[in-house]
Amino acid sequence: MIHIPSAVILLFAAPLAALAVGFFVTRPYKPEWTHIPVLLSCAVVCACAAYLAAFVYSGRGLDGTLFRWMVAGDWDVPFGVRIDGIGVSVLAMVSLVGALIHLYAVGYMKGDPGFARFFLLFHLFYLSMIGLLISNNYVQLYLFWELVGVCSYFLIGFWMHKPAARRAALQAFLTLRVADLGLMLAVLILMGLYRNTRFAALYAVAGGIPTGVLALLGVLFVWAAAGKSALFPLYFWLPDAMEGPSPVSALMHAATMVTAGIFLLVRSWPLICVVPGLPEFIAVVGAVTAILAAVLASTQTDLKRILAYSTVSHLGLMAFGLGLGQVTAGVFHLVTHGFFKAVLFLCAGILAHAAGKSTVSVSEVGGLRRKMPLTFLCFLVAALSLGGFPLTAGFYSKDAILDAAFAHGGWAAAAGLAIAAGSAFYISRMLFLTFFGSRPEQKPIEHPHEAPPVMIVPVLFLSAGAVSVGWLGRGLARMLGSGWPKSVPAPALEGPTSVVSSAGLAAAALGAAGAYWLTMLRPSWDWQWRRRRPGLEALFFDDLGWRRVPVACVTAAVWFADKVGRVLDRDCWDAAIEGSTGVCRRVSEAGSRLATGSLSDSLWWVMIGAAALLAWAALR
Amino acid sequence: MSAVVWAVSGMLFLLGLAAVVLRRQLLAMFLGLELMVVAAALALGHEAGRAGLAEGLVAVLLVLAVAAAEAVVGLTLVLRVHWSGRPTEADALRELRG
Amino acid sequence: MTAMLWLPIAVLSAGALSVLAIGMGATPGRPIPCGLAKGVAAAAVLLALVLSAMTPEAVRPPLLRLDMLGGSIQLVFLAAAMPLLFVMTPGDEVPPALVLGSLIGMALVAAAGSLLMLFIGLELMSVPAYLLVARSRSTRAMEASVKYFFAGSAAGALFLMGMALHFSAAHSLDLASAPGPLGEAGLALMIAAALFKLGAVPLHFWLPDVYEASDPELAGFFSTGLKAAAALLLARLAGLSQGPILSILPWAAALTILFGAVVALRQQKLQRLLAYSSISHAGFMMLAVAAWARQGQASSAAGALFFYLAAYLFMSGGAFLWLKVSGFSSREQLKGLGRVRPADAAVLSVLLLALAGIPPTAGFAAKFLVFWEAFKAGLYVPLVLAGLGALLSLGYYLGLIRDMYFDEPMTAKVISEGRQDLDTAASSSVEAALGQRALVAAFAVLTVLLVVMPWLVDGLWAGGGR
Repeated sequence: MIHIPSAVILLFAAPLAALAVGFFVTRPYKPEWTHIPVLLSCAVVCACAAYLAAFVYSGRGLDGTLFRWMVAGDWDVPFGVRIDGIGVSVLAMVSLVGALIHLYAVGYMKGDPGFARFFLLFHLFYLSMIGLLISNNYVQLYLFWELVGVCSYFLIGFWMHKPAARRAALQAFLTLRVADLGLMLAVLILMGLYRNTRFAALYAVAGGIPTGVLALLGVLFVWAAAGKSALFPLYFWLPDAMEGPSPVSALMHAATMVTAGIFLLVRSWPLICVVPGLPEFIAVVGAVTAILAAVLASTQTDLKRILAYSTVSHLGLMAFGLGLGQVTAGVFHLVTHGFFKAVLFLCAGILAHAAGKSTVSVSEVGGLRRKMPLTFLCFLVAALSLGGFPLTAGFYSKDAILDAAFAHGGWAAAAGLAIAAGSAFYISRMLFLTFFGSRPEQKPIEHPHEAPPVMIVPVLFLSAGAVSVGWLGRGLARMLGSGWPKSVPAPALEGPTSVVSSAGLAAAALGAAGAYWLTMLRPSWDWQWRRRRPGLEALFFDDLGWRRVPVACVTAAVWFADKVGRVLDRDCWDAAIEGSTGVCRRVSEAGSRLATGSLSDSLWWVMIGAAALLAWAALR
Repeated sequence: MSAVVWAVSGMLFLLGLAAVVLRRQLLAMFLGLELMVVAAALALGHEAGRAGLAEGLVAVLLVLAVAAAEAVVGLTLVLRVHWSGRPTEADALRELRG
Repeated sequence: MTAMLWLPIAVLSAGALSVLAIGMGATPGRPIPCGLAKGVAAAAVLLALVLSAMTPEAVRPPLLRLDMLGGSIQLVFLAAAMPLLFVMTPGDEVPPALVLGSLIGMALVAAAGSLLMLFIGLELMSVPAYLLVARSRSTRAMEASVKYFFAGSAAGALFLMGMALHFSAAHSLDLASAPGPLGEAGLALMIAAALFKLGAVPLHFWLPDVYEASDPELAGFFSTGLKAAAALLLARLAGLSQGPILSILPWAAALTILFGAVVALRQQKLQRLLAYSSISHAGFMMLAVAAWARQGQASSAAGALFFYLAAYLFMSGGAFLWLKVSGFSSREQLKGLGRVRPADAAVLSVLLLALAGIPPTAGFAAKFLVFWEAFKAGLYVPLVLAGLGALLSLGYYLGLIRDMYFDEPMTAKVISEGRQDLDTAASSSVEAALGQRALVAAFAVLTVLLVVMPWLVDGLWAGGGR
């Protein structure tokens, strides 16, 4: 029996206890205290995550079953935990960022009538994400995957009275459903073929699985990851999901839920990397996503939407890094991105909170750096991190990926530089438009004020993280090595070469300079081109036409379902049911008419029956 | 020899069958029934005699006894029909149908 | 041990003779005490029942052979005679004697070790039945008895010819397979006769007429006791088959189930409806026999057959008894019964649900066991057809229940339309004795309780079995 540290049990028990207390005790009686058990649970979870990080860092690992969940014959699905480098590093980020966002949400959601419901859903999501990260088999991962999706539906559509929110929630849910189908099929295939979905078991036999099966599984995993992590072509739900409250956007759509797809790919990496061409495919998908989203982020006016497209772009960047073989770099970027993107979203939330709305657009902000200095500071730090300013976390992680891109050569290097330039461009644009210089076309916020401490303090902490996490790069690489099968190389993170660093810096500087020029030196440019070419703006808002595609797909699907339903159901099935009673009646009449009442007829039938039997016996 | 007996038995059986199925008069049908029984008894007896098995001969005796008892019952029923005033014909008895 | 085999038959014979003796003491001035006759007959049957239950092991003298299958089914048809004797209202002593005579024939079939015994038993159980049908003094009963007689005798003659053919092939009348085409032909003819007695399609045309025209309690006895004996006869013969007959039996069973169910749908007369339903149930018995024979006469399938017959005894016997007690003959008279006479309607509903095979009644358990045995024997397509037939039968069983609970009682309709000829639910003048009503209710209760019987059957069979 493997000894399961109590930290693991606490990881589940604390949130469950908090949810129970919150649901049964505080929500009915004192909803405004719901955050207390939740915050306590967050603290416990963070402590446990830190403990487990140390556990893994010291070279230990754990993959064990807590209990047998489903058993049928020789099928066995355990409920277990896998504490290894990958899981724990992401877990540490998720737990810390999540806890701080919980704290932020106390201030953000204050006064909202759904305060208690929010915290319960938010914490349930937190728990689901934790469960997903430490699952030790695909079925369990699928369970938490679905749970995360359900929570996202409820949280995106949290303000149910807003039709846009409901629509966005439904769109997210349906898109994810389509994507989750891939994961479900993969799980079913694994269960069917190998009766076992434990990662450890599959890593061990990865070489022995036929390439065709692995290719299919890989494609299915990529499909599922594309949905959850908003890669092209299934990314379009994410910008619309900004209808949810800012803490939701920060946690789910920056740090956690969207990283679940990348996490799935990382967990499945020993299976994926064996298939020729699949990693390259992932890299291409990631690059396309990153570049497209960067372009679109530069054209948006709504602050949260800019950040949403930025998230899409960075998720593409993570996939890009992964596809180039740099698993470590991909995970590293995942961790750092969690910090700085959360800060960015939370700052946007502070701005919105100050404006009294759920989100603000660039035409309403401008020159706020004097009025909201702390927010400006945090935003600046995070923006620098995103852009890849030296010494920030984002710099290290992005350069690791750029390193891999350059090592791969050709198109990858070009793509990497383009992404670096693009990221710097749109984030600088956002920074300048929001905090520097007022512009004539603005309708500014009335009374912009700094956020209350309960909101700004977590953001400050997170900004500190956005800077400092980068220095943990080496430790991270060491941790990631544990739990990784020996057959698959997990390249260590060396420092990027100076060529790469300079190239990256140059690209970033170029992007930032471009943004500065377009926004500060030609202040109304950003506003004017929209006025002059509304069609162009509409095109960008339409994701360069890509948005039409899912709409067309859905319309086609609905038309098809209607046709099938109407034809099959009404014309075939109903007709069959109604026809069968007629048939029955007619057969019944005929059978009854056979009984003519004549003795001779009855005797005829006796002889016929006997003759039939005789004939049968004779013929055999 | 055996073939002849079997042929006769078969013919009697089929004749009886024909009488039962084709005739309308109840008594004629009844005759047909008895003919069928006798044909079977003939075959049985012949085989028993040929193989020297007492079992078969005993069977013939018992079969004839049973047939006689059956005849009593059957004739009673036909008489009943006659006394009720209905014609003793198969086609006249058609009240029960469907 | 041989004596033990003869005892039930001896008791029944003694009973029949005593009943007839009672009748001999009658003069025009002093009528026969029918109650005494019935009582003596019932006592004989009861004694035979007890003796049968005490004869468990297989005994094998040359002409007689009793095994678990025969012994258990013997219990069924002996028990089937009890309600008949209890409820019947004979004019004189003859009907009870006839019943006993029929039982003797059935007992011979149960204990038969030779084809001759089977034949004698077959004829002995049928002939009193012809007379019993004629006893109900209507013209329709007379017509039914004539039809029954002719068809039954024709079947008997077929059996005889089959026996002759079998004898010529095997040179023995023992219950053993006869090789060669002659043997198979003989077996085919004998099985045709057995199927006739069971009421299989297309040899069933006598059955609806006979059941419709007899008194309900008599029809109940035919459908339970006679059918049980016929099923046993079929089982004995099917056990001799080498192959060809066995392969057609499941299909004949499926045809019977479907035909019976379909034609029952349009019946308006209740006794005729139950007759066609009885045909359908006979199909299930045939399916059980087919499964039994295909599995090398496995004891589990024999248990399924026995349980089906036992459950059917209570379901069908109870239904016919209900008809006798309530006096209804037409489906129209059932309308609205749920409101006018809720207790009666409830009892009939339970019996109908059991016949339909709906859990948690014994009917469901019985059908389920038969389906299971058929599945084990590999009779997949007939099994599906049988299921379809069971589904179709829901049409009339549930239809009757719907008539009782969801239709207007006849009274209101009659008054509003001014029709006076139909006996309506509310004004039915047949008042049955309390004992008879209690009996019907008891049957209904048993059909539900019997659902736990299968484990009893297992226990019963654990000791014996072929």
